Amino acid sequence: MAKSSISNQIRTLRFMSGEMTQAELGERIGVTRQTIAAIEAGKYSPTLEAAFRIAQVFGKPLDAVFQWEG
Amino acid sequence: MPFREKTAWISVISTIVIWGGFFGFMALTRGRYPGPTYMVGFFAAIVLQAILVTVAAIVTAILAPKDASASRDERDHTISRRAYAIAYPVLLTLVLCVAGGVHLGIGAVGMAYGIMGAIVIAEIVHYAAQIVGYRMAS
Repeated sequence: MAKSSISNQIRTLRFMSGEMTQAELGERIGVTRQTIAAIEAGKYSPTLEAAFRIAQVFGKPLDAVFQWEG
Repeated sequence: MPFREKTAWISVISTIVIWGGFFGFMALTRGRYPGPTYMVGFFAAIVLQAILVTVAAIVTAILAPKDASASRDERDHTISRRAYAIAYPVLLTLVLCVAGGVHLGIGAVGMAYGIMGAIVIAEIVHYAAQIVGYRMAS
């Protein structure tokens, strides 16, 4: 699983959501804390469904959370 | 470290130690002992590994109960799928090699142990691929 060309704003969004923990976010979308850490670090690309769930938790559109770097 | 990565480490180490020991013993003695000796060793290896993996998994779960109770998520499934995709061709190739051994005079018992060896190697590859998957995506 090489570093993907998808960047994300999850760390910033967690901070803006009252320093939500990775575990809390993981619990809300149904994945483990380690998976959130891997997504955040760009080491794992989530499924489209998980990406939408993450965006929904922060109340943001998908492209405000994930960006395609090309 | 995720619980599933820990169990993969436990499995790969116990498989290498126990089955490596069994096949090492077979290779060193080269049939010097009667067949039942190897058969007992074979079943002892199965039982020993089952006990070792179970106990180690229970201890790991006690040390990190929250991680252990978490169900498999999409990353676990992806890593598991990739690990099987790597291990399956290995198993297939080794089994075909063992089957080809018929032409080299390998007997039925030798072939049975050969297939068992192929399964063990494929399992090691499977667990190793899982560990690499978790290491790369963590």
